[in-house]
Amino acid sequence: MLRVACVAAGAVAAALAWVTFIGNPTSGYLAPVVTEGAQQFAQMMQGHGPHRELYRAADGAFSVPVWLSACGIGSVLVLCVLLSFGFLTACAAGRAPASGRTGWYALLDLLRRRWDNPRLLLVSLLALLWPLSVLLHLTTAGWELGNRMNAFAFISAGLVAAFGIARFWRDRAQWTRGIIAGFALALIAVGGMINGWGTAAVRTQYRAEGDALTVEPMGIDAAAWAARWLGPNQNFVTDRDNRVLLLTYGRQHIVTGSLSDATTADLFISPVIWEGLRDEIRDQRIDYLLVDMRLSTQPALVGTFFQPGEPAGLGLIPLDPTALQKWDGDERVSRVFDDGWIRIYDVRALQDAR
Amino acid sequence: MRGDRRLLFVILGVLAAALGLLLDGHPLWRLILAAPLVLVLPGAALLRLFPGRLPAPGRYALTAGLSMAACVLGGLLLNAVGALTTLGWFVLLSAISLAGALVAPHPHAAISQPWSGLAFRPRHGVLVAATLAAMTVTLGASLRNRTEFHPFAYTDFWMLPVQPGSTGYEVGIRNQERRPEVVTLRVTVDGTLVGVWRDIAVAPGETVLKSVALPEGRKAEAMLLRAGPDSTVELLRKVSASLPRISTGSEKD
Repeated sequence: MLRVACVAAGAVAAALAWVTFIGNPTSGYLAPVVTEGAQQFAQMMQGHGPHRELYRAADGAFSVPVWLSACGIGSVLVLCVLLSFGFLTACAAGRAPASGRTGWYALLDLLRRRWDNPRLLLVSLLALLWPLSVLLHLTTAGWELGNRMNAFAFISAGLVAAFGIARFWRDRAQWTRGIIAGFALALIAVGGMINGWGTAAVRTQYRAEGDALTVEPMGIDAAAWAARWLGPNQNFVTDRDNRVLLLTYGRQHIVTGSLSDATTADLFISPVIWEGLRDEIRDQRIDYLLVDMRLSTQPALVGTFFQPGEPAGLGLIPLDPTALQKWDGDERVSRVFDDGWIRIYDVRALQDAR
Repeated sequence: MRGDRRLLFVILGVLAAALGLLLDGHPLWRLILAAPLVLVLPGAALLRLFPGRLPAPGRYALTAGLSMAACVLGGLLLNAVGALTTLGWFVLLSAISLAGALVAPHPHAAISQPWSGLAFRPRHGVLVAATLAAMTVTLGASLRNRTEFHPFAYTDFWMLPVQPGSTGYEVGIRNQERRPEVVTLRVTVDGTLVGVWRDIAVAPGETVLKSVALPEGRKAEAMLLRAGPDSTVELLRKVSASLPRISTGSEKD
């Protein structure tokens, strides 16, 4: 027992040490998401406060086809039923068999800490995270956390659901029940994918700031061009989805500013080049700006063009193309790359400008 | 004898992945050929380090899980050494798999009896074949969709100095329009024409580079033009370069 406790304490200490000394501090990033998500859910249950419309993007227009939405909701319902059947069964399976108790009485052994399979009990209890992740999906503040938590919570939920299936389908000869169980499992798998992908479950066309729907060959090519012709680790500023491409395919360094700082967004939305923008370029040692003109053709699918600190409602309408092109008017700025939609501006000359 | 067979399986898996790397065919074949090296062999190698003996289903799940864990940690390692490439993955996973097959297992390792507890029956074969067929069709459809997803036809156009601070520049054109293009390149400095290249034929996927020495000035512009409808000329792309100041002898003094 002491050895297990030492290993657990060591693992927790290692994680905390990593967060403190090496990694980015996550408490300031995650805590508001959790607390705001919880507050919004409480408000929603009381009948007021914002709620998130499922299977519809933040732009209000793009949505998942109805039959796919039905699959997603169906999978949640089936999993809820299986969890409700399987949870107590899974817990009871972890108790000490020596007691000889069956049915509801078996659970009394758990309360008296008579168990012989604590790992099964732990995994069963972790399945409770799955309903929490579904509830977070309903809030505008916590849906991303719920979406990411869902995959991990499903490891436990899947085990408990298996107990539920086993209760329902006890005999190999019960073909009808077998078919129903197979259908339920298939629905859980397909619906789980739809719920996980959200509006990106069906790829129909390019969407601005649509995460997976934004990734397409032209954006990848522009990022790869940056790696090939500019070299890696240049300081770039761009929108949220081109950042990912520049980081991966482009191997560039991305300047974002702090989460509450809207200055990097200002580099793209300000109609003129004013002193504050030049200060930003100088202070952050920004080398290049990648401007995607497609952002002027549609709103941001996820509701954000740059980062959470950007002006409220910015992502709900397309960006002003004139503001995006303003860098062409400064003779110290070079437009080094153009593919018709994506432009890369070299702003290094402004780093030393006064 | 069993060790020889294990080594043979690993070598076959590595050779299959190598064949997939060398084949320049459909990505589906590469995926199928590389799947054992990614999803099975590293996990099987690592499983030999674990004491205890697992029953068959758990062992197979653990093999796949450990393989994926090896890929996750291997990705971090490859990224750290700048080798996050297909070849890097091949070398790393092959090394783990071969090392696992060559070293002696833990005395009570879970894989000491690799195929125990599994009795194959014809219906198992039918189910496995049906599953593989469904996976292949799904994967094939997905890959076909991916390769056909080209929402934009475009031409990359760029202008960069050959050396930082020099007046020698290189202008690049890369055709991704999925059709041959004939374009004209014009380069100006402060509005004065300094070079024209007419009727440059660029095949799909081809890159054309032109070198140009720019005279002293403030800003250079390169324009890519192509024939439009009704004998018009349309501006296809435009890039620019803020030129460095050329220091003169009097400035040095």
